[in-house]
Amino acid sequence: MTSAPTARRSIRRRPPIVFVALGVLGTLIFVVPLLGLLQKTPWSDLPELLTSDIVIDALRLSLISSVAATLIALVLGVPLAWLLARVDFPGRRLVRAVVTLPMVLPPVVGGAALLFALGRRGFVGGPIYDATGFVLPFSIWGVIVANTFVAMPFLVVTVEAAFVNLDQRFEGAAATLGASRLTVFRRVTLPMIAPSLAGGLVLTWARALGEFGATATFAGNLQGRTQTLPLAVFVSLESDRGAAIAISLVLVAISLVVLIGLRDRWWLRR
Amino acid sequence: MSGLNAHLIVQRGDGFLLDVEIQIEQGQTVALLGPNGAGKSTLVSALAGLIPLDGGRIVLNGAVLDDVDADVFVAPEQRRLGIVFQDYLLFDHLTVLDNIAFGPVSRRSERSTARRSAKGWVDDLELTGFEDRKPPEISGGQAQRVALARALAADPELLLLDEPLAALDATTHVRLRRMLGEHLGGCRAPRLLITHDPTDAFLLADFVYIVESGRITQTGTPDEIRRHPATAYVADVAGTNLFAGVSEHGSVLIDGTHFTLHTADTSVDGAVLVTVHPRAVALHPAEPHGSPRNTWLARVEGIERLGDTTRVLLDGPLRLAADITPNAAEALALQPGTEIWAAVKATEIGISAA
Amino acid sequence: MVFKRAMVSCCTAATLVLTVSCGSQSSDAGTEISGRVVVFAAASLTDVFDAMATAFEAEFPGADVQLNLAGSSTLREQILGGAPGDVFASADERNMGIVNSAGELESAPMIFARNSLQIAVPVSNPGEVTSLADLADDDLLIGICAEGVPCGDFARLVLDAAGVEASIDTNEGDVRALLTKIEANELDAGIVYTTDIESSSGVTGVNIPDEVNVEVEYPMAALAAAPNPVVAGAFVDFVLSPMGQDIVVAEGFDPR
Repeated sequence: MTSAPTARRSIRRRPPIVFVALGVLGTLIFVVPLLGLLQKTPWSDLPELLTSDIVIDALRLSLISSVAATLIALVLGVPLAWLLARVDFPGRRLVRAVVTLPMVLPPVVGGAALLFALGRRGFVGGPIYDATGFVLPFSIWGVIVANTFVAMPFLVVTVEAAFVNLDQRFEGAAATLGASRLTVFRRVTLPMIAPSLAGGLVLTWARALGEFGATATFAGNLQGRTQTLPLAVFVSLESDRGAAIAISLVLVAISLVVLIGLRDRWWLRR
Repeated sequence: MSGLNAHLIVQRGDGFLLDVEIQIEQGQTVALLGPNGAGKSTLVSALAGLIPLDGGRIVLNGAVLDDVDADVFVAPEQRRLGIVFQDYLLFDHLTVLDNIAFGPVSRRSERSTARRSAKGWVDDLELTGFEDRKPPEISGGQAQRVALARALAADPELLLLDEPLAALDATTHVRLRRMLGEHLGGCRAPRLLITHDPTDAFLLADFVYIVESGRITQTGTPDEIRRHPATAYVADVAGTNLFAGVSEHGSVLIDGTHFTLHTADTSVDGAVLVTVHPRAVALHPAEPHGSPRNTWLARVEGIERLGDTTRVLLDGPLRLAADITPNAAEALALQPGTEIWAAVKATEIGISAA
Repeated sequence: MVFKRAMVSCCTAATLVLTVSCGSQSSDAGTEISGRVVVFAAASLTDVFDAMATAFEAEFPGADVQLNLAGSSTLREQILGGAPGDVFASADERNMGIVNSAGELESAPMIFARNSLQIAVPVSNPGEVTSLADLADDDLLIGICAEGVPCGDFARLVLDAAGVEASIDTNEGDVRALLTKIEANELDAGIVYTTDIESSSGVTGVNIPDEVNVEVEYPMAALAAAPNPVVAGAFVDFVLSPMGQDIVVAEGFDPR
């Protein structure tokens, strides 16, 4: 009589060596610059640098504007994505191309375009200024607009793909059970695309947080009002390299905390 | 006029045309039986309003749901239908209870009332203890019952079941068919059962529509269909001999007769369903000796020619149909009233637990 | 046999002739001025160095001047980081000083041009800016260059000297970006170089009194690690020469 095996035999083949080699190289592209940053960090000055006005102001502005941009992208982007995915309207391909344009344009060009349209002399901003005296650039609203402009395409693209890949028969089943179209969207469609939506929101937020060119060109650069973390880094590079590195570390730290905190869930829909 | 009164014309993109007329009265179960690809799912989508008709109209309990000529179309959410889909389409992100309560909640019912009545359905369909699980955590048989409960809980004016038992293993299939039969019987609304399984159709329906390639080729009660198949498909698939009986060690006493059939299958005892394919019934002018365990003297009641087959309807200790070649029929010189010996091998008698 | 000997002497003669004639085209130093020379120049020197490069290449056809234009501190970082360059022309002495202290210069830096600051306003001057004091007005949109950018540091010196607490709305990363926004009328005023006013058609200048203005001196030097040291030295000499200084003045700078 054979006895039961005492330990589970595991037959696991090693991954192909070529993949491992290329994968390691790929990872190094991201790790090496990070190590460079850490190596040049003035660790002893760090506490003082991190609590300085310039960092606190930039951190506050960055968090407010990136979250605001993400929320705007959510409210406007999801319906837009739905329309692009489900309604075959004339000019749909054109709209889709225009919406993804900010992903392709250099951010500075985007900022310049925003300035030409929404600045004091812009064809939209001009009349508003003449009527109310409200100026969008050089204010936190300008930062939020710039961030939304570059980051929203990520949300639209991700969510549109999710809608397209969704098995619409479930929505049909919900309709036959008496659910109105909005109820179907709220109780069936949204929950079913929730993982993709979450991933899209994280991507959008991350892009907004890291935005530099469009913000600098459209909203300008003023500590406490428009100087976000990326702008603060750039400005500090001119005068105080230690401060620049400290602020960069703050950006890296925030991103790592959020991404690790979400624990792969948004990355691969696990 | 109450019940369903529908003339459905749907032109599919691939050239397929569905053109059927269906009437179902209150309290009646109609089966739509046909091979795969016959257009059955298109029909379900059209009745549900998920695709519009290209012609015809649908009237349910006097209300027009779709009328192409009059340009009337009622959206799916306004039609009070209950549908059990082929893939169930349960909402994976909701619990069993919330799935069942989905219809009433969507129709603005008070959430607590809806959940309470959903709990009633949970108990009814023997799902007690599973109501807080999510669909990925339950078995296929349980999922089918949830789908049925969800459709019934919506208090529908028409119940549509699209191949409800297709995805189940043999044992579960039989068990759930019985449960389905009970619940259909208790439902007042007209019921439409879509299936490719003739046994399901004959056991569950009051009336059967045969649909082939988008057209109705025969309608009738299960008995009529079986005894008088109008097409080769019907004869082959639907025209099989079906009896109920009690089996003991392979000896099956057929209900309503004094006749016992002997089957080689001794695995099932008790109440059984017996099938004998018409082609398995051999006819002999004299009493045959040798292997067939089942032989008896029958009398020809009727003869029908169906393409390459001649169907002989036999009366006697056991009423059943036999399919033989036209040459054989001629050689035997069969006529209504002729006495003839019928023989069926024990291995050709199929039984299953009822 | 005879033919071969004739060929050899022919080729030898030809080679001698070519060498002599090539040699007579060399500079005073007796070596060739040719090949690529990379000039790191501050962005505010774009126009003058564009013209300088063209003139240099016309004077020395074998040379190819490549301009690397960026903010002075960016250029400084690049040089300190080991980026290959032949010449460094900075918009301020601070950045040149850092590079010098690091031992990256071939020889002491030379001042090759001077500049001063002016207030730039859009052509229509919507903010009705007429002096430095007007820059304290909260209602106006004012921009200067960021701290650490030479133009920005100088602007702050000027404002301090004049005792004006300007209501700044943006610190631009480089003077070109600042000019663009003023030209587009998105800003009411900004402090830029006098040369910028002259080179831009979309802005007008408002004078800053000499007593509070700064005199900006532009230093230039060949780099110690220059890949092409001969042409590097020649280029610096050219900029300091009368021909080079003509170009400097033509572009609105003050000569050295």
